[in-house]
Amino acid sequence: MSQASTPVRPAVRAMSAFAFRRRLSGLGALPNLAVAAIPTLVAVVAVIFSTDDPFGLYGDYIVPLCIYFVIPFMSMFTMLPILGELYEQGAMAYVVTRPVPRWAPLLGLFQGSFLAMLPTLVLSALLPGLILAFSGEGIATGLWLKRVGGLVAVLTVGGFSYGAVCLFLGVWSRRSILWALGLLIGWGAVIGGLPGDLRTTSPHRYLMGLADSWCKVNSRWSGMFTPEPDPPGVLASLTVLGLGSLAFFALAWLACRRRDIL
Amino acid sequence: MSAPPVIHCRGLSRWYGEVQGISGLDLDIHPGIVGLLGPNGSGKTTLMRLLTGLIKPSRGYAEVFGQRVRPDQHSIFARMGYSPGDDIHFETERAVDFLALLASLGGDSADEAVRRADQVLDQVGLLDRRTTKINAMSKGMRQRVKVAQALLFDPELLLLDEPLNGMDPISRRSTLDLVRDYSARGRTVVLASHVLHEVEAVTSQVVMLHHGRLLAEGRLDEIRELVDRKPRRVVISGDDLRSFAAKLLAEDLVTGLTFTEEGRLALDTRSLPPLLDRLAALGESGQLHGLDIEDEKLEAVFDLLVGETA
Repeated sequence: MSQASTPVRPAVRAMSAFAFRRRLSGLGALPNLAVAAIPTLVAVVAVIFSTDDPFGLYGDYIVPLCIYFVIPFMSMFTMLPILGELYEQGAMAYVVTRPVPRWAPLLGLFQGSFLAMLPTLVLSALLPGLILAFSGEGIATGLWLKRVGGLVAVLTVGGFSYGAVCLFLGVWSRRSILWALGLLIGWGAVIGGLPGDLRTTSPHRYLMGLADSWCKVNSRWSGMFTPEPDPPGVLASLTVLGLGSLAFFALAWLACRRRDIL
Repeated sequence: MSAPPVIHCRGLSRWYGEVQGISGLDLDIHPGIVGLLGPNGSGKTTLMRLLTGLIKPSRGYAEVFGQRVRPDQHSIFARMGYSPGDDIHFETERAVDFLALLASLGGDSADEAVRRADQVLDQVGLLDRRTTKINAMSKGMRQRVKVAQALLFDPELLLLDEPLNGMDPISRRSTLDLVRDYSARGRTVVLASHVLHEVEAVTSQVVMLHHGRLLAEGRLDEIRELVDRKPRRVVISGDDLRSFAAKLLAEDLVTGLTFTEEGRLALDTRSLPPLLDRLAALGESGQLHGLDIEDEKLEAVFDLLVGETA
């Protein structure tokens, strides 16, 4: 049966603006700011206790820290509360009883939340970069831009991919936070950081592949995780992360059609 | 040939695990105002959610405007407005922003959405509170915002789930007036409530649910007639109730008498109108101080009907 042709774009735009406003207003931004502050604190501590080549610490600590810690937690803190609020409290009933397909408001929510996450992702890469750059003898602008800009790019790709995972989990499960911890931290950071065949299935490995190419940084956070001996290239990483994100968007679309709104 | 029903349900059932929400409901609703009556837990909200595709039936089906209700059948919502029984939850949004957001989900541009939001706020008498945040509103005002969002696209079918809960008398009256006006324009309104007199104020056409099943359907006066044939209880207070009791027993107007713990006299009768006439005559002496007809309440009507169908 044909569906009435209600424009979808206003719906996506409106939900995007709503999610963006919600994540950046009031206390909504605090969790993300707290996560973004951690690399900066690590940089401050590193400057206080280390004197030689402070900017070298950016590659050794800040890049892996952002990929292991900042991306998964920031994705969770950005995507899951708003989805939980809408689904668990029944507020979604107001949203889905409109003449637009259910995927449209979800796409808007993802878009707005992702855009709201970007400033804090940039902060988590930029502030430590500035602190470490200005505390040493000075570094080449090109290297600084490559490291910091590269990390911002990796975080953006990572935030998009992990955000897609969180979108699906928030729509699919009432226990999305537990699933997110399992998937993003367990399957993402831990499995992706340990040697073995399973590592190739983890999105984390491909983010490290991008970091290797874009920031010239290996997973050298020694003592916790084994460095990747043969990191994937940019094309392979972007393909895997892109297709993975699409797969989770598709799963979110299926889940939103199946889930009861109580 | 009569017009097809706006809502058509056959064998509609929904269980929540072991708990039955709605069971085997066959129902047709035609244009006009229909009161959906039932005590809490009777299945009113479940039926509303099934009609809006928020939940899926375990068995059977529901059709609205001839279209099977499914989660992806979103075109129905161009013709249907729904005010859920749950609270709004968009706590930090201003009323106008909340409504404009929902108007945009209906396809409006940003400017159109604000204009439409103001229009419905005016309809529910809240235009002067357009910039008030939802969390700063009283329960009654929040209820009116909920009704307003259901009116956004001037729908042909309005589903209102307990819209009068928490409203002050003036808001109640204006909301009921709005429902009446809406219906007068040939629209269909399904008004769910657990309060009989709220529904009676706007319609005589009711659907009664009890434990997820259709208990009665039709005109309220017909249902009342059915109720009137059942024993009813009248509780009176006053002086010298024992002599009252003796007189009433002698006249065969009551089938049972009980003194309550508060010292009142409970009279069971199958002849309510003659009994009330007699009590009025006795009361002229000034000995009768109070009178309550217990089954005026919806729960009692349901108890009586359940007894009838058992």
